Amino acid sequence: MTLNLLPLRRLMATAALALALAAGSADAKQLTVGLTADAVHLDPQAGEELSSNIMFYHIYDPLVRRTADLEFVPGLAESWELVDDTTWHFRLREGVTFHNGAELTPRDVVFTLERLKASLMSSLGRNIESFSEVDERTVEIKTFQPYAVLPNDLAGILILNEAHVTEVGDEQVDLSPVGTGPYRLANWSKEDRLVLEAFEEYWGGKPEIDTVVFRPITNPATRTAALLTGEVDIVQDLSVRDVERVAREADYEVITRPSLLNLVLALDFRDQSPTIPLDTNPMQDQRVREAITRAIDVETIRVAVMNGLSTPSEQYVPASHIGYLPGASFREMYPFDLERARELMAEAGYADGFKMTLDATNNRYVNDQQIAQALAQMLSQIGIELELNLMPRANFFGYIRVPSDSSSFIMSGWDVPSGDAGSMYGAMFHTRDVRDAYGRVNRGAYSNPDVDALIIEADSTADVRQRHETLQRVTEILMQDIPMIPVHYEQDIYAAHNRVQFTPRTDKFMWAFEMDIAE
Amino acid sequence: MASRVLSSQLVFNWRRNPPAILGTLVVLLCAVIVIAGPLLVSQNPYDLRQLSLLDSYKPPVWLDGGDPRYLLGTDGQGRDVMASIVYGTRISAMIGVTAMLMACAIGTTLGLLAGYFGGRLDALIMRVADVQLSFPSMLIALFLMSAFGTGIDKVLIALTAVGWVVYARTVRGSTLGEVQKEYVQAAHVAGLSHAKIILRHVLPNVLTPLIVIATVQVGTFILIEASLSFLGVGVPITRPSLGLLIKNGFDVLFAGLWWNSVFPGLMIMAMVFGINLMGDFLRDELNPRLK
Repeated sequence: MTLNLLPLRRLMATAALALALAAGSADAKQLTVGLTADAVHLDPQAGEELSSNIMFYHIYDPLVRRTADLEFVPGLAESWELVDDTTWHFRLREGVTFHNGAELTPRDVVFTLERLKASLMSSLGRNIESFSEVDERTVEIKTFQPYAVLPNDLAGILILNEAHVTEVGDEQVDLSPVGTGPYRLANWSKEDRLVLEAFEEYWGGKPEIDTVVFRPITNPATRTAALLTGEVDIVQDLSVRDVERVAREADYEVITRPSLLNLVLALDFRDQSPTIPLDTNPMQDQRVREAITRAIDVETIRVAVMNGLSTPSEQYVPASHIGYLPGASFREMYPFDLERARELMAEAGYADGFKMTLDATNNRYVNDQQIAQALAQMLSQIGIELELNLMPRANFFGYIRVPSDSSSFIMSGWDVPSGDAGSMYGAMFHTRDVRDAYGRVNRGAYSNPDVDALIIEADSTADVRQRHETLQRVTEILMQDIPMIPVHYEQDIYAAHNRVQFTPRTDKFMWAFEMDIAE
Repeated sequence: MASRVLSSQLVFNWRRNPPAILGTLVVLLCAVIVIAGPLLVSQNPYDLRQLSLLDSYKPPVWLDGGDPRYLLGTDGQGRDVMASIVYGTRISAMIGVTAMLMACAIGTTLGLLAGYFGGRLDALIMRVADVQLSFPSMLIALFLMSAFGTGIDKVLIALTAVGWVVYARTVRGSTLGEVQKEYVQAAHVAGLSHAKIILRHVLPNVLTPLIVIATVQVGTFILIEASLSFLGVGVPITRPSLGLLIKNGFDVLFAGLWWNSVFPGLMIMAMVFGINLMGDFLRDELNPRLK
């Protein structure tokens, strides 16, 4: 017997060692996130959509940071001051290093802004006239006109490392990003997984979670399954139909939060519309636009399609935003009323309706393709025969891009994380092609000189209160003109294993730096 | 006379073959649904004006909350599941049969030409066929759908492109055998044109094996179309085929709304099962080597 003990003891020692090793590796915390789609870019100036944005804020930092509740606090800039009406000084934080070891300098900020001007994302910097390095820790930014919300805009501009970008070239920035953010890219196999690892020297402190794995899982049912089988720890956009099912599970939690994403329908204002087989464009007639608005039963969409998890939108921006007009609501101005809608169609001379195509996504917004079908159903009641052109987000945004030559009626989402209607109005409702960086997403070619003038007026005032009042007047005109029909705000729905500590952000950018996972 | 003997022999064997009888009955039932379907159900699920979102996700009639108007329940758009199945079966069967006829016509023509004339034409057609056979048909169909976009017409094109090869190869093989035979030689001597010899003499003698291929292919095509629609590149969402119905239902399966995918699934299973039983029987009967 005694002879046998020796190998046994050795075995136990080995087992103990193995256990210790296992415990050691368990100390390294890993979080796996199920996203609805893979990131398209890791170069923050190459384009933006939610999945890419989520990665951007892990890898890079802006000068001004937007908190989970839309407050603007120091980021890479530890403080800033207004030197005169149009000149700002931003003082950089000390001892910030990039993932490649280089130290952050004002040169990097200047380089980033320069590169931004020439990029697809130039509208982010449309109010910036010039910028320069003042001393080794200060950057000066001048705006064209007094511009009160410059720090809010800067929260969307992520700082690149000049040496790295120049060295690897624009194309490689997408694949080997270097920023100052809390995480750096470890591995990205597209459409399968994107792995980030904690950046130990992060200026904000070492992140709690060591490794974050993002997995794109497009199908909502598959995403739910991945969560319940433990393949992922947390998922984004839990299907509204699966909410009750997951909430019943003891180990899982459903987390909802009203979203800022407004689902909107853009109407075409051009003389002839690409998908309407008529010599004129019926939607140029305000009565037709009103009829369409009245034929859409937003409340039924909320109950039947969204399972109660949406908030019908009153205006283009939520009540918290600069430019919101208290007391005004699309739902009260144009309540669901088929009789009236049919009358309006008849008055406009379209009693028999017409045919057109709705362009919409099938994997971007919550239940987007079901909503599109519901719209087809509702508009058929006033004689509008709606063809559906549904496509994945990867094709959609290129397809509808201004000049939007193939679109008459577009369903898309718009959110304004800057907390200010001005950026949305400038991009969507200013006449296009007359001023740089204005009207860039005006897909329906809406044009109203009063709106243009007011938008410019708002953008040239340094006084927030005055800006608010000017933008409210724009809101009022837009609600009369109906260049776009707001439908509803989604609810952001997440589901997570109980081990995960997670508070959703207003802007939907899941950020592992603010999360933790229990052993 | 010969065909009459064959058919009576066929009928004789058929009556002693229960699986074949079952298969035929199922196929006949599907045919009734396809032809008379709209008369059997009260709703046209493709007419948006007849749908009401307020009736969405009603369970089958025997469950709590069921609505007697909707025997098998409704889907997220308020479409009657039974009516959707009837209309979806029409779309699926129509696509399966039409694509089969197109593939058969093209494949047979190319096979006849290749086998009859031989030489470079033969080499060209058969090399194309070989290359195509080296890719899975699902992959080719997916590729074509992604390239040309979605819609019923594109599904038909994709299926035809996938399906012609098998006819071309079979017909070419038989044709090579037939052109050696005395009656073809005699036709040549009698001075008949190539077209006449191919159509009048060769074609009827190479058709028999095609019947089996065609039958089984309808089933295969229905499944490929279902897969394409399931992957979101098939028919339009407002005119769902069986595959698309299953896909829509799959999205809400976790929420316990099982009737949206299970019933269309059973329908497609029954239809393909019936077709395959018939195909098996025909293969056994018409293949001379098995006799």
